[in-house]
Amino acid sequence: MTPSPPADGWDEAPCALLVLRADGSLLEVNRRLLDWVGRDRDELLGGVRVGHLLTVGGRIYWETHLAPLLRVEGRLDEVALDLNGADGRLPVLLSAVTHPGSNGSGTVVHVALSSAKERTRYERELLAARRAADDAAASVQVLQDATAALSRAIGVTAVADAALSAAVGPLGAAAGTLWLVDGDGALVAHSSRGEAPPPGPPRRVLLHDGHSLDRAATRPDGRIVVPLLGSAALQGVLSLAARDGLGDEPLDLAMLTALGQQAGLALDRAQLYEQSASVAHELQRALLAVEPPDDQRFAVATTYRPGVERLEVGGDWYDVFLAEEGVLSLVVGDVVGRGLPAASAMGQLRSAVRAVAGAEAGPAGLLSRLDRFVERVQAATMATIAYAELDLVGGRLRYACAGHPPPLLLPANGPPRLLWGGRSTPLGAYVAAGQRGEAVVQLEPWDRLLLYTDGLFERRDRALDEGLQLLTDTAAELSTVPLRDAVQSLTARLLKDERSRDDVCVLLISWLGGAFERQLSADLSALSAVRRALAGWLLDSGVAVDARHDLVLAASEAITNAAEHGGRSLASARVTLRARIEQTERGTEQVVLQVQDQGEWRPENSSDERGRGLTIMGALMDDVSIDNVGGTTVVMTRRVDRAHA
Amino acid sequence: MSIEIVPGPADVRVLEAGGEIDIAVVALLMDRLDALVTGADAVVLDMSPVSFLDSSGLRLVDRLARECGVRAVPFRVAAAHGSPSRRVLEIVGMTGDLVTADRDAAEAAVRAERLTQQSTAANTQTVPA
Amino acid sequence: MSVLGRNNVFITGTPGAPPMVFAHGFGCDQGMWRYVAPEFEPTHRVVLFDHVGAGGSDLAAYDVERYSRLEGYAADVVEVIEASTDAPVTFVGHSVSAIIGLLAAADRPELFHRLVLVGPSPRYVDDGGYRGGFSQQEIEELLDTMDGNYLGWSVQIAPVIMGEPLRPELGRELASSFCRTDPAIARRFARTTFLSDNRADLARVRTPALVVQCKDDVIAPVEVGTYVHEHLPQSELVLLDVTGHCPNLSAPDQLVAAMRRYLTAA
Repeated sequence: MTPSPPADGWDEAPCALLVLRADGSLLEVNRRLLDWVGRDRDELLGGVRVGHLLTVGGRIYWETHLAPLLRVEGRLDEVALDLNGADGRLPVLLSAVTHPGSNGSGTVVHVALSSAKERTRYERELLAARRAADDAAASVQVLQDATAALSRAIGVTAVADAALSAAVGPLGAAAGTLWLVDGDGALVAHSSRGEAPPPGPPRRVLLHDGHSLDRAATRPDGRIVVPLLGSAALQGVLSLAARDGLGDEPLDLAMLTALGQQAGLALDRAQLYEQSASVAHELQRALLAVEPPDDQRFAVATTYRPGVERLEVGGDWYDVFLAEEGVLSLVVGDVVGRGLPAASAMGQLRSAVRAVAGAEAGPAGLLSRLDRFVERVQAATMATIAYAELDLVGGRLRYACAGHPPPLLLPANGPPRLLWGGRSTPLGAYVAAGQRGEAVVQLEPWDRLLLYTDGLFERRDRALDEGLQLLTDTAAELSTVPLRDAVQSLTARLLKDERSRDDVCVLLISWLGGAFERQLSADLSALSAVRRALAGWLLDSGVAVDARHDLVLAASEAITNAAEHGGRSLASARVTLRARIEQTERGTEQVVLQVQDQGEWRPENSSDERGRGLTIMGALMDDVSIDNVGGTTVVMTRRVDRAHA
Repeated sequence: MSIEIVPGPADVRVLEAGGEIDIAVVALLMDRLDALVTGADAVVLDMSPVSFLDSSGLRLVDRLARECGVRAVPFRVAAAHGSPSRRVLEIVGMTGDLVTADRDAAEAAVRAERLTQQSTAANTQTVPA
Repeated sequence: MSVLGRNNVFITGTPGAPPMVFAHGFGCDQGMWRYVAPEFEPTHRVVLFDHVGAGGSDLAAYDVERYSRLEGYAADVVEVIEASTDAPVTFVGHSVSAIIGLLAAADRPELFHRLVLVGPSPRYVDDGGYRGGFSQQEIEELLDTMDGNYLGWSVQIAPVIMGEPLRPELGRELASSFCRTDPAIARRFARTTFLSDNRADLARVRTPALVVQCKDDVIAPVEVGTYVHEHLPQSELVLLDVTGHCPNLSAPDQLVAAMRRYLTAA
């Protein structure tokens, strides 16, 4: 089968022309094609197929894509391919049309190849440029995200997490482990993602000095090692596994190198930060480990809650100490700033308060002296402080606030009250001489006083008044709860939805005066000891022996009752026993016993024994009253004659 | 707190209670009561040495009285006048025949009751004969 | 989306007849079987589908991890078979799908009655004494060639525009989108196809198989077909007097006849 003779100009056409049989073998070609490929006609027409004129990539493409397309659609338009040319590869654009054969001759395909040197070069450049632009944009984005994540990370673990997340993720690694350089220059595995950390005890890999690791590299075993270079030294390495799917592209080592640089610097910062943070924490812990004086005349409970960003130490602190015999100093303060400087300023201020405190100075005098002190300790300037001195014998409370929220008085009888007296500006803020003021309030036995820092009630989304009101209400609800539980519940309730970065300090004190107070858990393991303590207090108070026995027995009955109904539902319930001596209107004296619990008193369900308990209490005491509001409070009185008042 | 069998005459088992008896310990003592009365012909609980007793401690007395009643074993409590336990027993009205002032009186009382029981039993036995 | 939707499964032929599943090779879609599948409709239940990433499959189902290995495609084949038939199938796979079918049959032999492997190659790249026909370098060159055409000079090969709504002239749309696919997916599929080495898997297959080899196929040369036959237990080899890699398009009659002979004898 011979094609019709080529038309005039067949050989001179500006493009290569071919006629193919259906199987792709060459039936006819023009001179231009022979020139381009540098072969002779006889050779080509002796069974060579069009694919053989193409580079291997083009040949596969022809067989897998173009031949099927030609079969199905009958034509190809401007497909970019490379000819194996006489002078190397020659980019061409191929167009083809299928012609059904006439007169029994088979189907033929007419093919035109136009040189696409310029066009292909342009196209390749365009393609390369577009890919480069796409890659650059994607890379910049990935690196930006990674850098942002690294700079947000606080602490070594967070940095490691950010670096691993970027590598095993946007940068395409299948898994990775971050190794840190330890003090001896050995590598120790820190954390892994997508793979198990190396098993066994921390593995130490010595760095080889011969290998200067300054960029990401592929090791012989296929893992990619990325150096994490700090400003001074290697901080660690990222060891990555590439995805091993056949369809996966190799990892971008340049990008990983850049990530390693960012992570190395972030590790520098994190280590510095952790060093100072840990010093600050130590300092703060030491400062807050206040052992309150052991004294029957008051009870105190404190709590410190760090802010959400635990690595940052805030400047909140509290202190309780005896300024002199019978005078208790109470302090809660808040130093401006965070971290090591704040912790150190707090320590200095705390020492200054202890040094200056005493009845001679009084709260106002103390604040004036602190003003002079902060002139020398700049970091303490603008610190706020609430300071109070309590006369443990008489219950007189002198207090002053330098820019600090007001103390909250929780009377044993009566509504809570914020103490707005004695207010002035924060320490070091300008105060005219002698202008630090103070105020006085008289406490009754069992009155409570709450000192706190602003983190307890201040929220960005609500007014200060509102916050203080909530604090007051919540504290009032907890006024009959044992001291320690009251402090814990108060912070738990007020901070339950709070993600504040702020630290919170709370100090709650109960003044007992000459009164007696003991708490015991519902299992009553301490009941015998409490009876003895009450007996001892009654003895010290000069109460005669018969009355002592009656009071102890009545108290024991009331506590038993409280434990039996409060303890059943609430394993952690506590019972509080209080006793005090008071003057009656007729000039006689009586002992008041008070037993409080959080349970509910149900006399109608009483067993015989419970009935007997009430009988005993009634027989021994002059008066018994039971109050069921917010837990149960039993108040009993008995007239006493005292040997020495 | 304690409650122990003290050596004494074979026909009367004397239990001596001591220390503080309150809610914290009463459950422990309750567990031992059964063993304390088993096999006894008559029981005396001497509470005079008790240094503290409250209403929960009275449950112990109730329970002993019940255990003895079930076994038809005579039972008395001894509590000296002015002792802490006597005070409580008086307040709740648990005096009368049950409580005596000392151990001797209590022993005499349970022996007398036992004699009465035996003669009643003997009479009862003769009826069908 | 169901497996049937994900893989654009098309079921035709005779209900209740033995099922025959056709799997297309690299570079194309189920349109490859347009001259072959209809021949079996009177005697078989015919199932056609597109691999995920090709033809009318759900491109949203394309998962880089899953489809970086032929095993991912083999798992799809198993799911397609389970979703579309309940009898062991005659599986007809072209090119890389012949290997995908082998992997599926090795793992789930109970699903397969016979295998027809058209132009199979367990390894395209030369490896020591083994002649696959290509070097790694040449495979990279293929990727360049593909990239060059995806830029869009050739309207025919330009990527399918994703999300294009289906129109009433569906048939024409399908015809004119023949063998087009997303360039990134095609590139990945090319690497997965040409860089796989499944020689060791041949011995795992127990399903009787027909190896259909074209006389002059630059993609899968005769030596490769012979290799497959020699290493595949229970296989027969048929050599078609056909040039090229796609006898299903260039010589459907010969392919159908060879298949009929084999299946009738079996």
